[in-house]
Amino acid sequence: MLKDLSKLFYYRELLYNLTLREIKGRYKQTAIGIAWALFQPLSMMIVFTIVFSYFAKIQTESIPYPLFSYCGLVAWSFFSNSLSKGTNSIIGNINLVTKIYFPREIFPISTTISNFIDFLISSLLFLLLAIFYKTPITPYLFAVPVIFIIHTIFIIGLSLFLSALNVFKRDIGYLVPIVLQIWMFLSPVVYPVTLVPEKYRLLYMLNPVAGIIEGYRKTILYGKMPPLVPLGFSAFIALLVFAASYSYFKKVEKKFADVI
Amino acid sequence: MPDIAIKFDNISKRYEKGSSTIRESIAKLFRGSKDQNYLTHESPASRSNAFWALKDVNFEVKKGNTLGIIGPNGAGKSTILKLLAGITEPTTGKITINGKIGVLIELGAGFHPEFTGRENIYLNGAIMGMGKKEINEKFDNIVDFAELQEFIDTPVKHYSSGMYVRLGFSIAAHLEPDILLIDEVLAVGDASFQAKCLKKIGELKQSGVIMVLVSHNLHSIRILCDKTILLNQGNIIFYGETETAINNYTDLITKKTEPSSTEEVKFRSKDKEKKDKAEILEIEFLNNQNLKKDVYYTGEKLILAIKYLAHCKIDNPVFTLGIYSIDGILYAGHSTALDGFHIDSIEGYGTVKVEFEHLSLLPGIYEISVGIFDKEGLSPYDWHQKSYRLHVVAGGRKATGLFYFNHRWQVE
Repeated sequence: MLKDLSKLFYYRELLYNLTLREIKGRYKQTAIGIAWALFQPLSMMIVFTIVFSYFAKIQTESIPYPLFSYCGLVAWSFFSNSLSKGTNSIIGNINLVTKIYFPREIFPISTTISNFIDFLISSLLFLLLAIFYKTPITPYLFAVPVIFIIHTIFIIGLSLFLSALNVFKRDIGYLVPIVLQIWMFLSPVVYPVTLVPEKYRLLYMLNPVAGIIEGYRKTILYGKMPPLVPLGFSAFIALLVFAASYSYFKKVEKKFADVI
Repeated sequence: MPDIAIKFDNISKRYEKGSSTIRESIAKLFRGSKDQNYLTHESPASRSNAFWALKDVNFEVKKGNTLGIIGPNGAGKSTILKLLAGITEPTTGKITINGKIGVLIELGAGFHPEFTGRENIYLNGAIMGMGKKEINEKFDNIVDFAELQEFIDTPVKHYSSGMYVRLGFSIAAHLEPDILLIDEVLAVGDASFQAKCLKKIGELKQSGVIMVLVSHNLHSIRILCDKTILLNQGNIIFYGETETAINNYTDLITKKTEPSSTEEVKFRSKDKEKKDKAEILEIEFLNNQNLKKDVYYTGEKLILAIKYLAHCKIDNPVFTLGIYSIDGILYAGHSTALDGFHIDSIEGYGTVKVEFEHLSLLPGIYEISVGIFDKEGLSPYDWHQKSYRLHVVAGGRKATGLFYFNHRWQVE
């Protein structure tokens, strides 16, 4: 795997080219361009604020609900957009896959990076929101990059697996959006973990996304230690998924051109 | 770099045909997620669905050599190139390559359709491991050679097939590969570009670039390749001197006793209503003694007999005949209307013959289209498009190029 990773470095120029192209291509011929990256989590935040904060009256302790949900939604959008686009990243590049060889993992990885750019942009709005709500700065913010790395490794791992499997069985392309929709409501994106009954809490936290989102929220919004056990578990799962997916990906990669 | 640039060791390649049933797929999926070997253990049922594109292929290419690959359609020629390019991997056997493989040049090269020509140059350069600076240095040469200055910032999806090939060839030729793979592209593009390509290939050859060339154009194989592989149904029949390989190839075609004139039917007029009026039953290739024969020598007399059946009386029908190269270029299109040959009417069974006193085609395989059209020559009653194959082999008359024209030399 290390050899594969160092090969990726050799192809960094290609990775850069494909990523740049994907970012450019995504908002081509749209009127507001990359601002769309802001609208998706923002519009969801508004909807959930109305539903959960005014109708359902969910308690989010000291944190205003818009800030609370936007934090989760930004992190979730990065995860879900990367996966849904990543799943199609190889079959969407038939032209290149059947004609030229280079490490195929470049496709899902460049999709993830281009979604990272969207993530950055929506994070900027989050920053403004945090300033607006006077969120204090605490030393725990240093944990955020670590959480982000776990988050990204998990995304790339899953993307590698799904994009490869989708080449052989196109059903995956239909299945992923449905699973993602269900997954979102099984994760503490728009509601706090405390809403989950105590006896199911352990089961609930087996979802690696739960640990990651809780991690972001606890450190940034509440200024507390990240929940170490769930986060550690997420990190373990993320690495496991990444290693297994990557070796699976490399194993089947040369068959892509035969079946695509 | 060692003396051997390319080595194929007992290479076989199997492709799966068709799709497996859902039950098989689910079984595979579970096995796949367990032992991470998805698609490698097939059930016997899916194995019967497989076919071998290459069987136990062995060869070596030395540094500085140009290898030609010829053979009938489906012989496995392109599979060898795909294996060389690393796009697919062999089912069994080992491939050794010493040197940097260039991008495979073929129709519809490895371009991202949404990218502009400029972006694709950088993309292809990046695939070959080149940095921005290195590509910048070569950029102008690539664009100049491809003659695409005006269109370099247009997405390649808007390119014509000629532009595609020009850019693909130019990129591959300028990115300094050690090994260049060329699949049947020399027949595309206009004549001046073809000449330019041949010249460039010659230069690259001089500078020691190894080339593997697949072509139906025996002429370019003859002038470019040091050694040639003759493939048939996935097996190497001959590997050695190009001239011998070409002779073996024409022999192979000659030996095919099957009535090659009806080898495959790619397209027939589906206009039922019209076909009810008149249809082409078959065509025959006849020699100067009016005997059926499948293979002709350059310069031999050829009579092409079109047998038809007119179900009702048709006034002023027009018969057409097209001769195409195997890569689809129309070499000649004749029709009774263009020749001013008037047919009053046809009814019932009959035959229309076209006579070629001296066949001008040089050795190769040609595809023939025939049709019966209405008197305007616009809509067909029946039309067999590229449905017949004509095989031409070398006789006493020799030439290079595409045609043998009757000619005479004299000194004054």
